Amino acid sequence: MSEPSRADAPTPGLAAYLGTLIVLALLALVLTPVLWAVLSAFKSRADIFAGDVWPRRWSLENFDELLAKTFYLRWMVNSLVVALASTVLGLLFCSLGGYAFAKFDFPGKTVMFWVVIASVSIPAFTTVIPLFGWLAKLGLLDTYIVLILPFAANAFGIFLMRQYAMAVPNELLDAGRMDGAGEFRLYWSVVLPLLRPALGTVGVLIFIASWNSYIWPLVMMRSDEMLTLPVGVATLKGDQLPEYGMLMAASVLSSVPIIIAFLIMQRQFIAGLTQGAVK
Amino acid sequence: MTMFDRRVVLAGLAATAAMPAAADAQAPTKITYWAWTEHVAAANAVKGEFEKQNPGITVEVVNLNPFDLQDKFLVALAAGTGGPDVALILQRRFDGYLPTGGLLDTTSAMAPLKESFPASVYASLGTGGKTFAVPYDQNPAVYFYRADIFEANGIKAPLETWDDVVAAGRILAAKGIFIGHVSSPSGVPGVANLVQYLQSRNAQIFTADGKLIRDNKLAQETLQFYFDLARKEKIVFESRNNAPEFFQAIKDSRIAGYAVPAWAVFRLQKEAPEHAGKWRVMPWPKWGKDQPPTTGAWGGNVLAIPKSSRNKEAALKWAMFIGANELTQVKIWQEGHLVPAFAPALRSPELLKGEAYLGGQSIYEAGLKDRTLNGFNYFDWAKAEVIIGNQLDLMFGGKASPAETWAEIEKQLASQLGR
Amino acid sequence: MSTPTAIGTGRAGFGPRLRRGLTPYLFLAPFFLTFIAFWLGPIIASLIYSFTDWRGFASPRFIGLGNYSKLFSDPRFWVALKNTLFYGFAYVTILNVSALALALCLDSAWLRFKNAVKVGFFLPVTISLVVAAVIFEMIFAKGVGLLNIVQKGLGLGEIDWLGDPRFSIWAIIILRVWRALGYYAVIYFAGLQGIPEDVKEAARLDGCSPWQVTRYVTLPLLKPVILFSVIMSTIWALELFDEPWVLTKGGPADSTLTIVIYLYQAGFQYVELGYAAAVSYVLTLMIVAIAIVQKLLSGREVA
Repeated sequence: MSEPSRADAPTPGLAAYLGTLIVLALLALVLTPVLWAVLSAFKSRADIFAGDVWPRRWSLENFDELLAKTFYLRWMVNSLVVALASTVLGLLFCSLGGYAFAKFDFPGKTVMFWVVIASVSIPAFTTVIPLFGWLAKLGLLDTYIVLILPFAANAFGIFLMRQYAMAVPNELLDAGRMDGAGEFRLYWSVVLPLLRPALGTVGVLIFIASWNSYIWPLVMMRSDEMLTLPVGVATLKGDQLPEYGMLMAASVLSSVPIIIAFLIMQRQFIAGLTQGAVK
Repeated sequence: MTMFDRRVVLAGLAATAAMPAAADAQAPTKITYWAWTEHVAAANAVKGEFEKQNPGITVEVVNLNPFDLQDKFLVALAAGTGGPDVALILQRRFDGYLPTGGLLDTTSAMAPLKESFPASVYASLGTGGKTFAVPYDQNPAVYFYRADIFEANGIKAPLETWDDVVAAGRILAAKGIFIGHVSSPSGVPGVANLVQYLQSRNAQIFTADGKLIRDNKLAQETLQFYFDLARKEKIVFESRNNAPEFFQAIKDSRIAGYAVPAWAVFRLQKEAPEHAGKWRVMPWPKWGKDQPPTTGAWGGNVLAIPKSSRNKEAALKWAMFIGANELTQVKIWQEGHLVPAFAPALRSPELLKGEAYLGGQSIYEAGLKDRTLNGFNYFDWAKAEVIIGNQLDLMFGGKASPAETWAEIEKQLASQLGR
Repeated sequence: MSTPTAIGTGRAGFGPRLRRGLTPYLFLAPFFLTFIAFWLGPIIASLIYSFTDWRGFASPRFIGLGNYSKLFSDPRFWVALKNTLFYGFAYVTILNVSALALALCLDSAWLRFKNAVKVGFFLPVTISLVVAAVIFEMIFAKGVGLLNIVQKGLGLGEIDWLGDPRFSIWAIIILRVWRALGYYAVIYFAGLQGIPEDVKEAARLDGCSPWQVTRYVTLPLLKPVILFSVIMSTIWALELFDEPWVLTKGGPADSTLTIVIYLYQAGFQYVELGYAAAVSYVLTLMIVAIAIVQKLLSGREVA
């Protein structure tokens, strides 16, 4: 993405630099803990509580140990598969649902909409025990499916998609129908491209929600190799012997794919904008 | 929809459908065991031997965060399905699972072995003469101290009584060095620290049959002592358990000793390898020259088998193999310095091996061998811990004296537990 | 998932019309099918449990409204409620104001290094909770923590962030805002990108200052996104659990006890599953009520 892309009035130089300076100062504040995690990952285990900022000796021992002693790479693959599949499926389901709410009138619409909204307000702890029993009966424990499917069509995504879908011009849809396009085709080749910015945003949100999800995979997964990253990494905390060095290394490594995903999806939705799809 | 689009979607769906990676078709004799770090290491070390002795049974050891494990176990217990065959359960949480009725009765297997376990451990396995678990370990406390700092200040170790500890603490406090640790703020995690003091004095909160002890002078006195260490004598370091500032103080040699179970040596090694050879161990101090040599504990762990296990017999075999077996019980000492619950294992020469970190000293010999661990009656402990932890916080926050605090603890335990 | 229908012939007939009538239902089918397959049964089951004394394996015993009356007479529940509402209000306000401000900066013409800023503020989102908790424990540590060192440097004295009941909830708010800011900034930024440039341009040509454009054009157009973000963050605030659980376990002295920690203790630690179900239904009703109030306060833009 190229900056500055947007045609604001030319701004006075001094104010621009001052503003930038303030934002960067706040950024430094926000990044301090991140930096701390990164630096700690390169400290030797004994120096983590030593109280100094820079590693006394830069060391890769935490990374070595992490990769040698745990299923780290497997956990990362699990998390990636689950997050990506959740994102793809979630975007499909949520855009379909959001579009239906935004552009169709049908009996039961209001009730259905409130069911969708109300489904978010039930805390996860409420349902976990009966749900666990049900999923066990279905034989879904310890599978990727159980981490993906129950959340694929989620209320937030539908709600957000509906916001964006409302901006799709009706004339465009009517023109499509005049041309004899089927409803799914209309959705796929007219609506979906117009929703591209929304897909980028909702995609980031779904990906992260799945990537950071903790309680759910914790309860549903049953073997070491099937854990997701947050749950697997938590085993390093232990009871009396926390592996802080490995924890920090794990965190640094696991940030990498999520940053890449973020950049890709950002570009995706900026691309959608510069094509001038939505106006 | 173009051909390409369709393929992408189909591939996505196919990928999701084809992903149940772990084999669903469980062999009838594969059992699953849930534990954490040091226990996983111990289990993996003896697994091969077990499988050799029991052909046809294989064991899968799953490593989980200890607190997460308890939650997962409860969910499976309540749902009546999806649990492990054997799980390592924190003693402090175990009594909460008993009323669920979801645990396998182990009475007939355990009864013949009753004499092989300390009475206190055996009594904690169930109620009404029945047992619902297999014992695993105990966590008796010792006193770690810095031999170099003691020597430099003319303090002669071992310190025999708590009076000696206080006297030594005053000498060190004058130089800004602490001789102990009190969990303040306490919250739930800090209650275990206080329990060490209560247990070593046999200051029970509940009677053996679960009645709350009212006007508990001994407990109140112990709380007063615990409080005074911090606030009157000011000879102990105050922090939450395992707080960063605590380990920094250890590294800065501002803490010259603290009472904690034997496993802490691994933590010290990790956090302060530069202190190798300087730390030593002495037994838990006595409560008076003529008082019995005892100690307290942080509460050990037990092995539980859910009734919903499809391989109860094999599960019980495995539980007995790691809980009531010398080989495995010695292993848990080696891997994590958890003191075996199985008495014959205590005679193993392994326990007398010296530690390089402690200048060649054996923790068991120097700190535990001639101390007896009193039993401690845990009832509704999850709830009790929250009540006690909160009141300790208020006490350390200056809102109530130790006497008032204990009175309030009793009042709340009585009204909320109905015991 | 619906398959693409055969392309219609264009003739007005019964077929396409019916198909169009069914279309929204087909499009909503994934949500409702998964909802029915996974969630509906457990939701009803736990509603039923909330009227029972249920402790796990043994059968639940019906006790009517017993759990609910016990709940309202437990002083700890009211502490949890007070903490949750206080936290929720402070957190939602701070979070949304700062995320919106950040998004406005990112959308402006004057900010340099936009990409770096965007990625930078997003980074905390990628740090897993366990690790964030360890780091913030070090930052908040009494005396030797980074925050205390800075405070002492500024002559502000020491604060025991995690140990002093007056400050512990703020420690939680700091951690939570830190973790969520980038996430919400993304939502707001996306909303800003959706506002047509020509509307703003027209305002500018009418002589509006940049601030006036923001105040009278951008923000009103952003209202649905603001509402969405506020409602979403409120719901998650009311369900606060992770941060206080890993950092303070609800302490000291219940100063960071939230409703979900209370619920978790009842269900997962005391094994009072019927009671826990009742707590969660009270929380659900609260969330729905607050979401409706927020929607009503904001007018008719949404739904």
